[in-house]
Amino acid sequence: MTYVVFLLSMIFLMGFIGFSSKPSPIYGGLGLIISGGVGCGMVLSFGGVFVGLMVFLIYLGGMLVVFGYTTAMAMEEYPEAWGSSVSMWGVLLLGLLLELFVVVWMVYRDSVGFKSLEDWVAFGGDMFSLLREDSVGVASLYGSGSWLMGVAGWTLFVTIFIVLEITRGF
Amino acid sequence: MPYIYINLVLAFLTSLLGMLMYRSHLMSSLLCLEGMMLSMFIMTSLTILNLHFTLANMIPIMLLVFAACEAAVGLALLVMVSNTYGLDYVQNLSLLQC
Amino acid sequence: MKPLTLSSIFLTLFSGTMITMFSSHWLLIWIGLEMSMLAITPILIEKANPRSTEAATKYFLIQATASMLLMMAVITDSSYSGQWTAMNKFNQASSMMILIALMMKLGLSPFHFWVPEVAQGVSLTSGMLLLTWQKLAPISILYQINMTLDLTLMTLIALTSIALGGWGGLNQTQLRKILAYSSIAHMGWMVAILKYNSAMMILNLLIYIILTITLFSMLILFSSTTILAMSNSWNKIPLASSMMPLILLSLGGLPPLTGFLPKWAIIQELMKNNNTLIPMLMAITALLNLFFYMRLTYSTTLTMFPVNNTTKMKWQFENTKLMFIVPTLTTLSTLLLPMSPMLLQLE
Repeated sequence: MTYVVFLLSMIFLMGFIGFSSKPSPIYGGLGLIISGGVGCGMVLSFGGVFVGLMVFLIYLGGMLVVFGYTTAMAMEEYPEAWGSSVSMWGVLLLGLLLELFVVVWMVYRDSVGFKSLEDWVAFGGDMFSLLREDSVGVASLYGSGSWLMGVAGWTLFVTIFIVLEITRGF
Repeated sequence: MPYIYINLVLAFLTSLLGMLMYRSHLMSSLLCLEGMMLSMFIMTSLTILNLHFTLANMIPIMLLVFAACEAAVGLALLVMVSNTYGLDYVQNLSLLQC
Repeated sequence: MKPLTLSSIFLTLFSGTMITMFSSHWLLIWIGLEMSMLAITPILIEKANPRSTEAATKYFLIQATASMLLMMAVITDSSYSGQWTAMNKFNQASSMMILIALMMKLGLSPFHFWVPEVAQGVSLTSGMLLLTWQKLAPISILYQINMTLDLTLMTLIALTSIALGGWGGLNQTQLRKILAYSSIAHMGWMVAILKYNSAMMILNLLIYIILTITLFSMLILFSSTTILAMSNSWNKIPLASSMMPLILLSLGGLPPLTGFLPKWAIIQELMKNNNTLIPMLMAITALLNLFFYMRLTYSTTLTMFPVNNTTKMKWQFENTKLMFIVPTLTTLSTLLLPMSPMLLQLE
């Protein structure tokens, strides 16, 4: 279980290196999508079913569609992939080497290896609990967190006007 | 020191570095902002699920809400910049330097 | 902007800062910062032109990055300590990251380059909001966490901010850039006193805000953005033009004026804590600031530039701008020094 989450976090980081080396936004968006999906998997394997669903549906389904649309609007003819220039290759390789170094360092630092990862995983194989605490926690936005939800809702509402005001010029 | 956590912090730092290097499209910078937000989201969710802070589960949702707002405003600015300059390269924003 | 949109955006801006100032939970502090950042963007871009677009974009990128950094520091800290209170004792790395984020937000020394550019790109009213109201929220966070910050680092930041704030303004002819550099220098003074007496920082902030609002409303009154345009102010509104040097010198911190009070108090407080070198350096580098205020004074009031005869008639026309707040602000920004015993009691 821990091993799987660790592998997922490595893929997560690789996706991040992918879009942080700043290729053309289309490929960068691809990296972010991979990272988002893998991150959803990480949250799921820690037992956060509702939060994982939220990040998958809202983040990937909602936000990145808009990102993809905007990227397609401002697209150049020959997008810059990772292999296009020397600096891009360099940054990508540097990031991957760094990741490799970190992994090697983490695995070989203590002789116990991956067994010591267990201190951070709470759920393990016990999936029989009656209460999904993450959905209960999120649902408490309607109860004890109602003011927080009010603030968030107001901000989302005002953001519409803000976006319209920004793009209204000219 | 939990190892998954190190990877997540590294992901945040890579994304921050990508944000600070303004070599390329403004869109890539916005993607880096989103990436920072994503890594913070995963990190809070994992911490909260691990430590069983039930009520704190609204924190990642709030992060997501404000990430959405930020992305919307960022994209609106991107539209304005590409309307103004024709391109969305960050290094083209040099009108105000002196 | 339509009145309804304008009022809801301003409501978000003000309530965002208020949420930051009143909260002790890091999530809400961050939410307040985000709200005020999101709401100021359309205010910056109010008159859409390439310069304001660029200024708003730069401001947005910087502030968003700083917010992310702040939240990351808080999350790191909360995963160690398990709590989200702002009064919390931080670990070293989180404290440093929060400090960096707040420096980016305030425009303190190594991260100050965005301030003049953003201030130059926006209109005078938006610039006034940018240089006054937007400082409140980060400063209030600094006020809340000042126990965890590192004294040597803060002093270093303060000294470099004051020096660079003076240095950068020397070569400028644009008034908004000059004001931005002056803001950097004043932020340096605030950070310098933060670890010793944080209430005095609030006093300094208050007086800085009063002075900056006065100066900006004067500039709005004259509708001038360069030193050259200021040199024609005497034939627009002669009385306001004659008050201009007092406000400028007050901003520079000369004795019988209001601006002297925070500098005096800060230097005295630092001397009480057995620092001699630091206040000396601060006072010396503040002279750089004083130099460009003096130059501004010189071309605004002390000389009369040759103009053609038609512009000399301007003062006879009725002023259409309704700036009823200017006399009060001018009085406040010049004559507040005798109030110093009361203001110093506030700490």
